[in-house]
Amino acid sequence: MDAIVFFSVAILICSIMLSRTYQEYRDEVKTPEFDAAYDVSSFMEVLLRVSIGEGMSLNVTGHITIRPTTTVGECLAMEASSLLHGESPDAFQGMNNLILIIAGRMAGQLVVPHVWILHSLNDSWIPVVEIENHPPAGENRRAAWFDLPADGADRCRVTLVLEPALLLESRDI
Amino acid sequence: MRDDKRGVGGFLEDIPVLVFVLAGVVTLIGASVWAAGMRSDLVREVELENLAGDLVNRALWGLSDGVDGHVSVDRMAQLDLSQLSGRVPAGTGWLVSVNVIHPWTEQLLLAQGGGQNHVGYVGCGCELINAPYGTDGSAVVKVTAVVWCSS
Repeated sequence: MDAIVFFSVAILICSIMLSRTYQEYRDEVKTPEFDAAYDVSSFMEVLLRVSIGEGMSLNVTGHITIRPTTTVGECLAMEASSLLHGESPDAFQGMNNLILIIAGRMAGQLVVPHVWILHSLNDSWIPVVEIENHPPAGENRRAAWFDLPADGADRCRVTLVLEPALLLESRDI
Repeated sequence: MRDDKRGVGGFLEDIPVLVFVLAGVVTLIGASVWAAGMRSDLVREVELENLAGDLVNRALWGLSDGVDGHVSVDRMAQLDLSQLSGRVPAGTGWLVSVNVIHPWTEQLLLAQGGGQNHVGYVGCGCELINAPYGTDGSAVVKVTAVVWCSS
């Protein structure tokens, strides 16, 4: 009877320790690419500074021309300003798609990027631009933001969200 | 005879307890060995991750212009990263790659070494940077390092 009690307790303790060890192992091994490779702040800094790479004309009031060397940050600031002055979001669809492609190339296959522009209104942030692959799932997301130069009383903030892509586990292949 | 029968009966009654004790001992030993092996694997992989991160940082240092930014894409293509082999322990394979990923895609640099050993453990690291091109363009350059060893 003593042996049964002793080994029952020992097996219980052992199971708990193994469970914790295995959980730690999963946390360390399954997400190193996301943790190590993608610091969201530096990712966003690089994204805002990169040239958009393609020239284009935007069909808005004043007919804006984008040069290939215009940075993504400049494009987003111009888009936010135009939208707040009543321009249609449709005019920026091509540019937004290009920005999403750039962010996707930078992120690789493990991470899905989303870029939002938020507008400060009555102490709350209202999204005016949502550039995203799909609605974010909301798990294990990381975000960084950058306040655009104020256009008069309008304050806008670019927000970048990275979330892990939904991939099948292929560790043992 | 009666006493002998009681003795055999007592032994048979103890067999379930003996089996339970043996199962407990085997479970404890097996769990210890398994946990120790897993911990060892984890430590090895973390070491390789750190080594890969160190290689990326060394490569970035080589791509820096010494002030606040990085050298141009054209100059990057003329650099040599082979001196990174001095940072890698013997018996460890390594590879460092520098690629432009936007506005165009191109491999600028590739350095590797460390033999053809069997891949048992792998560590990797990467970093994104902006690099100037042309007169006022800014490209995205990705620096990737992969290290591996057999045990």
